[in-house]
Amino acid sequence: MSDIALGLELMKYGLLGTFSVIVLFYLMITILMKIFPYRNEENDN
Amino acid sequence: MEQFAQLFEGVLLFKWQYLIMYAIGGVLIYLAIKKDYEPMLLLPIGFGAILVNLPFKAIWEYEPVLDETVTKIVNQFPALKDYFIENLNYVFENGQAYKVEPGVLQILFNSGILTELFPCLIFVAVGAMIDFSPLLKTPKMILFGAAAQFGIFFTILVALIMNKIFPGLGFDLKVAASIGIIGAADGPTSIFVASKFAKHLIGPISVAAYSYMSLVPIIQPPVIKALTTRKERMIRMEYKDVKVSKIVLILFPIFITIIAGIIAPSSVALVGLLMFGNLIRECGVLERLSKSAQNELSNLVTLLLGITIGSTMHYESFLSPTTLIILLMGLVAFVFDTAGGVLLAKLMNLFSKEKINPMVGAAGISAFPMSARIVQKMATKEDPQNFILMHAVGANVAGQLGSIVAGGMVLALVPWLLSL
Repeated sequence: MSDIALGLELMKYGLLGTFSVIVLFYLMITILMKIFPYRNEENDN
Repeated sequence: MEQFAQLFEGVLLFKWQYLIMYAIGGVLIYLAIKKDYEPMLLLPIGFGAILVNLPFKAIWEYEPVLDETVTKIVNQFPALKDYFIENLNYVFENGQAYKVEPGVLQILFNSGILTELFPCLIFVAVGAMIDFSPLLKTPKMILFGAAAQFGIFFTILVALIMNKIFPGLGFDLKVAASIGIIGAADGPTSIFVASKFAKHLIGPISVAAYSYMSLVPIIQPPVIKALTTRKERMIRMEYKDVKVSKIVLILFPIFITIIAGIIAPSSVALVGLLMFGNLIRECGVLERLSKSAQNELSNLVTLLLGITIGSTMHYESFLSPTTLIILLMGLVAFVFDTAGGVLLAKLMNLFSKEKINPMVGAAGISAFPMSARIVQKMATKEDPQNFILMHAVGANVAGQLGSIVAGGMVLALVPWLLSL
């Protein structure tokens, strides 16, 4: 494979991989915020 | 007469190229002191560049000493020569072996940069400094942390195309990846990747990364303006001040580490230590350690990192067209990072009822908190009542995560693609 083709592959998989991990982070944050909402008692503690 | 000449050997060995390196070091010191551009890094880098370009390079390595025993061994077993050169700091001249002891800065380079220790320690400090709650309150902003890494991959491609046009540049995939990673807008990540793939280019790559990070206020506004209309820049975004529970703040760094570790194992050294620093900060029972990471650790490692990076700027490797091209590529990376973030926000606006101010996308680069501040400043300029700072901060801390993940992807994908 030529270097430019490798670069294109790197761009494709790199962006895809980065977005996939970030989307997983997004889902994790959303779930965590739903499961453990802020409660007023925390303020008292 | 000979002894007299020895006294002035430094003058006799002086080269005109040193003067250029002093000027470059001087410019970096000037930018640090006068313009306040990343002074904690540019000043030590500038001074390191001067130190390593003095005759004899004594701060990098001591004068070679003849080692007769090794000379005999290598004369008997010539196959051992390469081993002595590569692993034991020997040089060979006229069949004689000379031991070259590393100087202070080479010891720091070998133990702090080649082992990736300094960038990793910096991440502990950075993690302890970052408050991720703006991101947890507006999780959608995390997508910009990925989009604003577009510049990394685009620049890798541009570097490879340049190499095709000018084959003498020597930009293979590994070198191109090290150059592209300047777009992570994150010094330690750039150093981490460059130390794996292109050790000989750590100097110019680090200088480019830190210089452009300090130039974000100059680079980003024109790109943002070129890609957005005034109407778009005036979009107001509602900010719900949702409070984040302590358990979420504690679980966040742990889960991020696990997810990143499973999906992108190469990024663990960076993500793991960033999140370790953050856990120390958020756990609430390690305040002393958190403060130490934020202050003492950060200051000490930054100090050593800067001067060590500066010491890689010897004229022989730095004064080349490659350095100029790397600096240029760094600019390309920052421009396309910004464009990537802005364009994703515009794309999201096509499908979303709640409009996003596209400028927030530009804050998805890792230059924290500068990028968020610029975005807010631009928003205020268009509409003094528009307050998008918290969204921009959310995108900006997401950029920290995105840049490390992208760095991990590059580290994992380059060897894989080369093995195909």
